[in-house]
Amino acid sequence: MSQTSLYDTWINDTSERRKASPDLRRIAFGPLFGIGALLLVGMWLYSRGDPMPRFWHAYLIAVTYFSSISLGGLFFVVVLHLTGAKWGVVLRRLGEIVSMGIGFCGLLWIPIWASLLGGDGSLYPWNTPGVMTLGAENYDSLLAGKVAFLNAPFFVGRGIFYFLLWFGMARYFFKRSVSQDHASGNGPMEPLRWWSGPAMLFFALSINFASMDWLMTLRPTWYSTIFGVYYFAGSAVAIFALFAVLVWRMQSRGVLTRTITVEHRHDIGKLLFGFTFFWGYIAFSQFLLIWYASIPEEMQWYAVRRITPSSTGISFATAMLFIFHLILPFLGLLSRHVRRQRGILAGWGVYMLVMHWFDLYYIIAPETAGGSLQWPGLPEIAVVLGMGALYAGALLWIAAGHWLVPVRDPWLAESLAFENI
Amino acid sequence: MLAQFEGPEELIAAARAIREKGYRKVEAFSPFPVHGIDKALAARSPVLPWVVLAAGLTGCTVALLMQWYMNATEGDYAFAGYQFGISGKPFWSLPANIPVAFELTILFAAFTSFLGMIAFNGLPRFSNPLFHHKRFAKATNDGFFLLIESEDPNFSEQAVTTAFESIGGKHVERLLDVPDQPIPRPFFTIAAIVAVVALLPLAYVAFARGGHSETPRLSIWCDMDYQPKAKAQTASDLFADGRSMRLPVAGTVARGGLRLDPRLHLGLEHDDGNDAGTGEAASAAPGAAPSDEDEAESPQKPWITEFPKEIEISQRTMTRGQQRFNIHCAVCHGRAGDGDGLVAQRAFQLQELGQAPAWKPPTSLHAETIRAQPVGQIYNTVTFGKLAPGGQRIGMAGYQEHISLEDRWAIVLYVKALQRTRDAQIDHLTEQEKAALQ
Ligand code: HEC
Repeated sequence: MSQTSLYDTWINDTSERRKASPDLRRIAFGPLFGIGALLLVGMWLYSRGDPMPRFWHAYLIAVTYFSSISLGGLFFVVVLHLTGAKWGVVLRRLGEIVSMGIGFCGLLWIPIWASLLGGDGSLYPWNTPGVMTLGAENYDSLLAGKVAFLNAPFFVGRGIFYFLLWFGMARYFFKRSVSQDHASGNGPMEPLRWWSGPAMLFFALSINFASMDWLMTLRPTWYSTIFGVYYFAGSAVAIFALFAVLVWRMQSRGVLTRTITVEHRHDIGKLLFGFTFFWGYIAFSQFLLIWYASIPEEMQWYAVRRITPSSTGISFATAMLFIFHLILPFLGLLSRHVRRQRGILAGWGVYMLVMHWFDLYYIIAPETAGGSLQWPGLPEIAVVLGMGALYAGALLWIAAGHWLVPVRDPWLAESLAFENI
Repeated sequence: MLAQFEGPEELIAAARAIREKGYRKVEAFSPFPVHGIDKALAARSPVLPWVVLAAGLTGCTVALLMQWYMNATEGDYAFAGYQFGISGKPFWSLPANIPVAFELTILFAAFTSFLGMIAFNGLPRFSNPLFHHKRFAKATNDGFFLLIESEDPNFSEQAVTTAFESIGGKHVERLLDVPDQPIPRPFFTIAAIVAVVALLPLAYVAFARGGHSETPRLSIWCDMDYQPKAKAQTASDLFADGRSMRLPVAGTVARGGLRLDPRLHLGLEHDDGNDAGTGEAASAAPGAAPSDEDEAESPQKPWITEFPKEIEISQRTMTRGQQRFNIHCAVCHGRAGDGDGLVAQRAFQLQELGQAPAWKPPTSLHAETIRAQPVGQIYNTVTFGKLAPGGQRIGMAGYQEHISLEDRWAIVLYVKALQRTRDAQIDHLTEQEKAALQ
């Protein structure tokens, strides 16, 4: 069947759902937000007695987790425009919706920002009163040297700037793509191609600096120049893992069953596989250089994330991460047959979403949990589930009433007819 | 039989149609990879990926085994590995081995897929009937072709032609398989000459290995050969004191330099404040009477008589000590400890010719005085050496920089065992061993 005739049949095919119902706001948003808020507030009350700000750690893990998913979505959308890739057009709207979630993630940062401006240093040690004041009891000359960059107003200002930038970009790409759904020509789409270039540049720089701010300054004396790429690799893994799960979930409910074919799922699988390996490559590069030189100021970070057995917390944590975040999914996703099976691919998607969360847990948790990596407990899990409910509610709110596939995209016909082999 | 089609979509449609007509030996040609053609031709899923997977795993295993064998094993057999300490890492340390494993996995997989691709496609062939076909050259440009081979069970020229034409094939033509021509003789001559010429550089290298050259070598990367840096043990006017090597900052301790346990680190019951024991510091101490007599030196120190508890007394330590002794000590003291190692023999010879001034022969480790020494004292000698007092560096140098702490103690253990070989008494044996001897 030629592409044009395929497209004609697709247009007239009514056997699948392609549009998110506007009722979603009413049906899904309320309950999800209710559950989410309940879990978060409950956990906050529950862990108030903890000596460390455990709740806020769990909160930071969850925020950076969902931010990374939305950033992955933004990356996917921009890179499709940048490369002019046609296969992924049927998935682009999903990416756009997920990327719009970045605005919501920005709102989630407000409590942390507020506590920082209030001079609270329990989450970010550089904000502890006194550490940067000469003569104070807890003065730390190493930290004081960084005061120009690590101070609450600048930190918060940068954060707001990143989110405005990301939300601006996501919104621009989303709005234009949506107005293309009702346009007669290709007008709305045209400038996107051009803007994808600068957008990619901004994206790369901002995610780099943001991840340093959020995660690296938890231990302000430690630095790794590859850290931004590490966080980015995780977000790319997350978005394709999410796609694998989303497609399976939607198709089992009769949404886009014809539009997204085995070929597109195959490509999601390939990209998930590729970025999982990319993550491993970056994570290992960071580890190898630090481990090899074995300089105390660099090694401190891995020293608490046990390479060797430990009596408290997770033994061999770093090695475990490599095995379960890299080797296992690498072998699991290696075969084409796995990637072309909807259910199995979705299984790996869930698995990688969990592993990506664990990766962030591994980065954030030891920084206050008494300097060792413990197994996650109730607060961490409940908070990520609660925030997940809020995040899902926000995404459904954004999606409500929109086509789930860019119906008038000039390349849609080619994307529908896409074949891998 | 060969037929041409309009474009990629037509090619796929035609391939599907021709298979539906029952033809099996069908091949498609296009200037670029056409997505979906494999399915249309119902091509068998290839074995090559499995072969490549196997090759990749082999590469990974080979890399790990190779590194383990080369760097983590050492022994007394031909082609043994060599334990080479790098950066203070263990000899067998997985993280350091992963980059090599990764590269070899890829190398093996890539070569296998490249060579396997060639082999599975029956290449190389010098000629193919398709090459004699004028129109077929378009297959690398804008032509899309289907071919049905005469081996196909349903093949008949007439039927195939009509089949092709019915599905829109143009220029249906018959191709004749031309048998491969034998390779012309001159090719062999040329190949032989090329092979010989290719060996010349190697031969020259082999020849030049034994030669000498008067001209200094060319310096291609001058800034690498002559770097503006201070080399060890040289002067430098950059610093006020004129040394290029800097002294440690006051109050700092080098890594591994913390020696708090006098038993383990000095061989003494308690630290007497003079940590160099009988060695270099003692010889530098002012007022020490210059004397060659062992006994005449500083008063007996509180040497420990038992091995420190950190040192495991076992066959393993003993074997290690033997090995280290034969490497570090035997050159002077001889394998049996009689003081007749190769260095000593050579020195005797030179002395007879009058060419070796001030030289002190290595002590026999079986001498009465040495046998009486407690383990702490022998350890101290190994660590700090035994230099004749007076600043002249005559005697034995210390080995603390060269031999690790554990190994120094292992050597002491072995020396004690060596001494026992000359002085074994019947009461050294247990009742059981006595019984076994009788
Ligand atoms: C470069 C040659 C050389 C090597 C190698 C050497 N020694 Fe010595 N060793 C000597 C000389 C020379 C003396 C005599 C020093 C003196 O009495 O002033 C000596 C003395 C000794 C003594 C007697 C010290 C004393 O109290 O009189 C012992 C024990 C000893 N060596 C053990 C060792 C051991 C164990 C090793 C291996 C780690 C070793 N030596 C390596 C040259 C060597």
